[in-house]
Amino acid sequence: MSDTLSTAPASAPLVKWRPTGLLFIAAPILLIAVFLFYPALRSIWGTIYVRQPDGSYAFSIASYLYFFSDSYSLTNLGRTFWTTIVTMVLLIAINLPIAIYLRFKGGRLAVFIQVLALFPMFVPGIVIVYALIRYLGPNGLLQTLLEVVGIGGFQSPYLTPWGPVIGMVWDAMPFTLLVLTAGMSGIATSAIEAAQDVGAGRLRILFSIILPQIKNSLLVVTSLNFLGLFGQAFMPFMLGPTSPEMMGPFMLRTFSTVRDPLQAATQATIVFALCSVAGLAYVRSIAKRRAAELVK
Amino acid sequence: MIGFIKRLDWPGYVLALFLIFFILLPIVTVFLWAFTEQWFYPSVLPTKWGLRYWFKVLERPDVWAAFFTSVQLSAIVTALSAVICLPAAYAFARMEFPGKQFFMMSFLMGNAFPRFALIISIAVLFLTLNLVGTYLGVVIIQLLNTILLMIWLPTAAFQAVSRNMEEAAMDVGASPLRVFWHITLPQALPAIGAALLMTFVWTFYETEGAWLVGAPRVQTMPLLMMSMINNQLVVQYGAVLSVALWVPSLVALLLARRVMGSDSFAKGLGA
Amino acid sequence: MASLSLAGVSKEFNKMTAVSPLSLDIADGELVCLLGPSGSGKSTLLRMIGGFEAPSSGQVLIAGQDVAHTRPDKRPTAMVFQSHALWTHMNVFDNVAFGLKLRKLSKAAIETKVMEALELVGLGGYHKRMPRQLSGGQQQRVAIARCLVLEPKILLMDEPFASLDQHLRERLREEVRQIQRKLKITTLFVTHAQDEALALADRIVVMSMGAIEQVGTPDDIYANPQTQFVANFIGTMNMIPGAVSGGRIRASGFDLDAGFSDGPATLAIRPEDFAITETGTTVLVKRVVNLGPFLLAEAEHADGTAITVHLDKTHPVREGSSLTLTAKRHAIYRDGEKPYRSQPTA
Repeated sequence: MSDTLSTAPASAPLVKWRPTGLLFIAAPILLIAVFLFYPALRSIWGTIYVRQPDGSYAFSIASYLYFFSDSYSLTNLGRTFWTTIVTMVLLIAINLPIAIYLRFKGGRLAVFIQVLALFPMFVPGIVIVYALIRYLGPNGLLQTLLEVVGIGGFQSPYLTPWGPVIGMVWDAMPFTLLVLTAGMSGIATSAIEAAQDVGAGRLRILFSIILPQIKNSLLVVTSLNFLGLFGQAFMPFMLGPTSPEMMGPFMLRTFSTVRDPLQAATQATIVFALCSVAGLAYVRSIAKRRAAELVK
Repeated sequence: MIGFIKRLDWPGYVLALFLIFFILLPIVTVFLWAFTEQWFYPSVLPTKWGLRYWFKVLERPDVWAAFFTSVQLSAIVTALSAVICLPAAYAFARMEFPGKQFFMMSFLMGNAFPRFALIISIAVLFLTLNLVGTYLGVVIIQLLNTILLMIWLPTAAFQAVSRNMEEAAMDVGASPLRVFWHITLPQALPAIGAALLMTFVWTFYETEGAWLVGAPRVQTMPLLMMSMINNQLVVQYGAVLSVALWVPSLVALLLARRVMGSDSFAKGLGA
Repeated sequence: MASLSLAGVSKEFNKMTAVSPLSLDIADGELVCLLGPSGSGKSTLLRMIGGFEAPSSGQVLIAGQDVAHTRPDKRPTAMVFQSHALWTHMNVFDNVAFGLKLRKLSKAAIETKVMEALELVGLGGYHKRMPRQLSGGQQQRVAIARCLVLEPKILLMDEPFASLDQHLRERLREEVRQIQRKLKITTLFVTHAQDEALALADRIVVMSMGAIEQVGTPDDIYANPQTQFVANFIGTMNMIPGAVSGGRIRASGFDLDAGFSDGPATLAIRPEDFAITETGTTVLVKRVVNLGPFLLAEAEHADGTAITVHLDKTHPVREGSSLTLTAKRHAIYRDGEKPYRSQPTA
């Protein structure tokens, strides 16, 4: 770093069109090219250009045919969709009211709510899992508390499809809230007061002013949450049922326990493909924002 | 400010109550268990309190081994990440070069992949390179995990350093290297420090990569806790480890967040 | 169109007084400026009239009806905000039409009204633009059209031109004046810029620290400031400490009539109210600034009091020369109030 800087003439402006910048970014670029894009492409390629029993390589979509004819694989895929969508809906349903509340309210209660809602950011996944098992599990603290106030018949979500949903909502809360809050901070209070002034009610303000103004934040949150949730392995593995299971633990088991890297790569490729829509939406929204910033 | 929300604050109380039940109480549970010697089911609070399990945990050699493995891994990964990413962050913030936009986007693209599917495809590659179950394999996969954070936060930090401040220094005769060393770097240092700290903590608790590539030969702290939870070993072990390891990192991260402000995360991700 | 009366209106935030109880009557069709420094309570007062803050006490009467605790949209008021507060995701047409749509008007009626309103603010043909494609001045015109289209009885403007440059402000305030005259709409205009208030208002309400200092026509406020605060805030005023005895005030060599009881007092003279005479107070000119139509001389009396004098250009004056002055007009304040005013002698 010192070389490039010291050889530049002292009068030169700090910003200059220089290819040395490329040198600076070479290492991380190389790293993600070799260890991220290459393996991704390679495993995708490896699923269609397959080593045959006789040792030669040939194009084959047998592993995909297997996946889409195997009812267990399909059930797992369905479970993954269900879990992802339910979690996403819950995340918005919980965080949108919080974000709106925080945008328009100050005071101690608002601080308390904000601190609690962002708190999971500081809790590593393994601790979340442990805490939820002890809290929500059978004979856990929640069940005890409910029985104290006379509510019986508590069914623990632990090891049911709701287990991973709860764990992932916990985990993704802070991110969702931060993005929504950032979007919400772009709405001028006077823009909302102006709407009130012309006679818009609460719901009307929500749907006609607030939601359209945070459209981009909603898009980012939806696409990134989809990507994050669809491929989750850890939460479903620890909190969910073993059969059917989400794609994450399914891939993990196929890779480590069944020791079938080809099928694991096929599953990963299918996850890539399904997530590419969300990924594209995310990249596009980022690109659009950058373009808007450049125009400014 | 808005009249209709102002009138009655029942939404605030509903939200607070929900968050207490959903966020706060699970954490409280962990703390209760950590200081429990006995807790029979219908009791709301532990039936016998005590520190016995703290000593038991600290006596276990596998705990210490995993702890040192994790600290070592996190230190190596954080150092490597800094060496690789900080120059790139400076370049993104202060230099113009061909393809800058494209490369910036391609880093963000890392976000646009489902993480675990990526880890699987990396593991498939590592299988052919004999990196599965090795220390090096875990270092690489955890390093990949830190790049985005380590480029994004320092880039924002370098960008935030006022150009005028640098130009003023050049005006009084400082060479570009001096400007960087005496003006730009010190100004950006708090945020860079925060990024290093967060990288260290996140790497310490990184689970999925280590699990797939490292286990069972490379045993990190989270992996040890996982096995303790899954094997239904003494309940308190997990609680004690959680409290013992997580409280210091909580303090560290809270410090880091003070430096950065809450928006930079979300903004960096394109909100 | 309607009259507006405030009766004992006050506002407290967390036990801090933002507006002390005050009363004010505004006639139908009048344009009144609320003028004061930031923190004087003028915006809070306006927001209470608009319904965005509830008064802690008192009544807000519009055409005789108390609306102090009525929601903004149920009042016949419309507000133009400081930041234009346009809905950035809607185009100009939709911004202006939004309120009409809520009132379930027919499509054709909405279109006619919106186009009329845009025409009125000089933005005919801009209805398809997005807010970000407009200049600051145009954005503020859309905000005005958005208010006018609902035919409010009272128009409230909260420093609407604060973020615009001087030239544009002057143009827009002329347009606002013309529109207001044409529609004869009762208008309250908050500003901290005295030139805006003087140019625009039928009457000015000068506020300071949550209270009304003076209400009057621009001429009256300028020529006859009732309090020392108003005297200082509007235009420039030389404040010369002195003392009254035997019906005369003596301060830094000035000896002028004073209908005041004996004791310390402050003599106030505007820079343009000096005359250069043979006898009078002699001051030493420290600096001369050419302000275009006239010269401004910063002078100093032998006792160290600084005095600012406007001179027309027929009086060549140099730095270092001395001037002999008398006052054509003066006022006297004690404890910031209770003024005495001489009649102009020139």
